[in-house]
Amino acid sequence: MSNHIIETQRLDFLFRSGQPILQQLSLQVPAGSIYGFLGPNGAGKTTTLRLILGLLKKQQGSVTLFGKELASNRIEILKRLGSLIEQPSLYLHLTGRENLEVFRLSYQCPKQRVNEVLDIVKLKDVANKKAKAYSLGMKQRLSIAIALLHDPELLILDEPTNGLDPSGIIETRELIKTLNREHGKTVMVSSHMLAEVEKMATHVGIINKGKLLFQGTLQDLQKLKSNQSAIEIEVSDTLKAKQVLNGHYAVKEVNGARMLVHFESREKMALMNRTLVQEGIDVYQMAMTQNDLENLFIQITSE
Amino acid sequence: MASFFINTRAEMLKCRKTAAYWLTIIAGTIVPIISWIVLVANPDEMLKEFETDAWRNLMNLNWQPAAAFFLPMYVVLVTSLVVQIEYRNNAWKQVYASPRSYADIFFSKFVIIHLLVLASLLFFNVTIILTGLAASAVNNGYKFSGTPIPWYDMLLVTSKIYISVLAMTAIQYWISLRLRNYIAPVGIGLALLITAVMIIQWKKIVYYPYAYTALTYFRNLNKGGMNHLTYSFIWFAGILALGFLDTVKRKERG
Repeated sequence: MSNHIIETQRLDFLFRSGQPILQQLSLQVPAGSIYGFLGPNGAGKTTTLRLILGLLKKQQGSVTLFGKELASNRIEILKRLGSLIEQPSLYLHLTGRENLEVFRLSYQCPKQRVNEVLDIVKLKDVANKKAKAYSLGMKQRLSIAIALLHDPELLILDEPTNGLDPSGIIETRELIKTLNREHGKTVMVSSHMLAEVEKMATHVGIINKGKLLFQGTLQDLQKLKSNQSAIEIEVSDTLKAKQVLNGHYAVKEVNGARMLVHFESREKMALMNRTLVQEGIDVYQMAMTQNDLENLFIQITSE
Repeated sequence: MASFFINTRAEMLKCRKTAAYWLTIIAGTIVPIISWIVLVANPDEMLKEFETDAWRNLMNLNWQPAAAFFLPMYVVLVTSLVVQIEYRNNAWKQVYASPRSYADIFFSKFVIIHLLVLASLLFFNVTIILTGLAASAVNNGYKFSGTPIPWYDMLLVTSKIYISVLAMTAIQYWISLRLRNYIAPVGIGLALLITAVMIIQWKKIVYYPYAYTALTYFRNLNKGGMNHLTYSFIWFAGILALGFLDTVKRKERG
């Protein structure tokens, strides 16, 4: 058996209108990883996760979890995973504890699990409040608690930090890391924020317009990013600066008082600064460009 | 099977403190309470009527509005409300992502609807008895206290009425599962119910499920025949099977 806890092969999905949502998507989520499933809104992340959970009927390709085909082993597979898809699914008229009790019965796990998961997500103090009185962050945490009730090996979380304030984002991220490191869970977490994924993932899959653009370890992604990194420089005379740097540095773009130069190392960056100053060019600003998701897409697709 | 019972318990827990729960209590008690007010507010008129066969008269006073309209309307509302618990809380996806078979999910919720209907019928009968005794306590002209309660008749009428709503519960359940919106299944149900009133004299009314409670109670409408109860079973089994098949074959859940 492969050590991939989730594996999709050549997954295709079309809307009724015939519009393709997923095209030949082959994902491999290694056991023990935090797999960041990254892509902009509308890229097909939720559709992929819904297919993996059997909430959408598969059209083409295969979905395997724990080495077993989803279609023929649905219940057995669902016993081994917990999920949170899109916004929290909570019964708002019930208390946090009652919500857990509803799912505890379905998962048929011991009563003490309710207190254990409340401890993990730090909601014990408000467990007897109605879920409708919870903040969005608390609702997300309660949903994660539900996903953890039966102590699953795998967690599938769709944009768990969506709509949260900065402290809520940090709390959720730390919780995911703890679940992975201390409780040994494999976590597949989708997000549209590159920085967020970089802070917690061990593996990354990048999807755009239904196609998988990149899949690998976080180190692979960072290597790819650094290969494509650039320094933005603001100088007094860009034409002269370009002449000075040409031949020694790869000048990518000149735009008014600013220019983009390929980043090689910190040392070469310092040397470039000295060279420009020595040539009588004033350097107002020198900074690494922000590698956001949009830039990363451009880099990946241009390769 | 054990899993089915446990999940039915979970479904019951979801219904706690919801509108479906309160509606069941109200639907079971409102008609007898109004009848009681009629009894104690108009003793001059009512005492004559209730001089003989007090309990059967009281049952009649209560069952007439219940069978004609209140009970079928309650079935329409409660079915939608129970299904809406999932839609309103955006919870279907969590239900389908839990390790439960489709049969378990489909039938456990349907069982809850039936338990609520049965509870409502039980409240109805109990409240009839209590209001009868309360009427005697307020005005000793009413002979409820000294007259034996017609348990057998109550059970018989209730059983037949219950059988007559089986078809409606299955149809409304399927409609409520298919339509995300709460108003649509209620609107369709009420429209079908009003249609029953309009076509009640139709020769083939025994085929029309939304008329079955009226046909059961108002014997003059169907010359005492009870064939519609058999049709209620047939509708019930047929629609339930179709609804379940539809649930299994659905391309998108939650």
